[in-house]
Amino acid sequence: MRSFSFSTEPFAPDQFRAALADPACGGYASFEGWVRDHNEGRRVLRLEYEAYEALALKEGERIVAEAIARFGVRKGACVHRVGPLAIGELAVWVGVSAAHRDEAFAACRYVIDEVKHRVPIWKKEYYPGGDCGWVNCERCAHAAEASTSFVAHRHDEPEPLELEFESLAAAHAAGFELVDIREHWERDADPPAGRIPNHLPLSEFLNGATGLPAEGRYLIVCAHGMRSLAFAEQLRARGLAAVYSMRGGLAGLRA
Amino acid sequence: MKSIRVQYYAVLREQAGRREEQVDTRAATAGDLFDELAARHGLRLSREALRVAINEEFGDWQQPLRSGDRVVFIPPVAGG
Repeated sequence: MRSFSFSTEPFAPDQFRAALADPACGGYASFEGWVRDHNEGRRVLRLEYEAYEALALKEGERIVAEAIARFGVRKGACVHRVGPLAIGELAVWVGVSAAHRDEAFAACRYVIDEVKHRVPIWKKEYYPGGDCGWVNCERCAHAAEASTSFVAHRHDEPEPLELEFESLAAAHAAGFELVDIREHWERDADPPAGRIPNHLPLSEFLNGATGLPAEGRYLIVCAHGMRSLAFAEQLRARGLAAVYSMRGGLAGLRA
Repeated sequence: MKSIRVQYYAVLREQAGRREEQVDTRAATAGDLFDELAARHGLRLSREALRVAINEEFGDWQQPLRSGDRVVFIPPVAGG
């Protein structure tokens, strides 16, 4: 079985799930994406997926391989529908088996997030009244008519700015690079109960650039999660796509 | 002149009014080819919003084209 495949027909995940079974695995995590009856405030009647299959299969398999290497899970797979779909239908399934649940959840999340952003698959929504549109493309088309300047891609759901973690280790396991933005005195007075490789006091950032490579996945951490939220928002505006604030800050971990 | 196979998907397929075509072109790079075809077919997506694939692999706009290459312009994706 290929780790990434397409289905032109409705499918039951069971057969694919069975292929992930492994005596060394104590956990299996899966994600199912279903067709929703609304998007961005509009009612959606049905939709259609189209894929550039030759490249999509390669990129999809690369994503699953990355998840296996990165999170140390045993097996992973993803199946995506193409063609016309009705409301409530299963559009995409991701399954991951691993020795332990933490890696299974993290790898499953990684696969679906990367598939949404990297694999050449397009979604056309049909609305009441005969109108329709390609998700993430219509704004680009309108913007292109108005100007040829840079157009930011929008995803069909706004990416959350805050994420919640039980521990710093869990954030590491989920593939995030942690950035502590507390001041030196705060860090000295209250060293983090875990490894935070990057220390970037907010007062110093205000005078210059962060030096963080744009392609990284960052989790910004402060004492209570307020400054980190504002800072994460600023970094998104500066073009870092995968930057999040840790909800509740370091104090939240001790609560 | 070089001969390039171009495939169109999704919103670009609709704007171009075709799934694929064989193009004879003097375009040196993938970017030049897009500009040429955007003008010819009235494609209404700017290059900045797109990615390009050459011979079934992601490429870049500066990549030189050779006769026989297969090119796909990739609009913003929306899987999942």
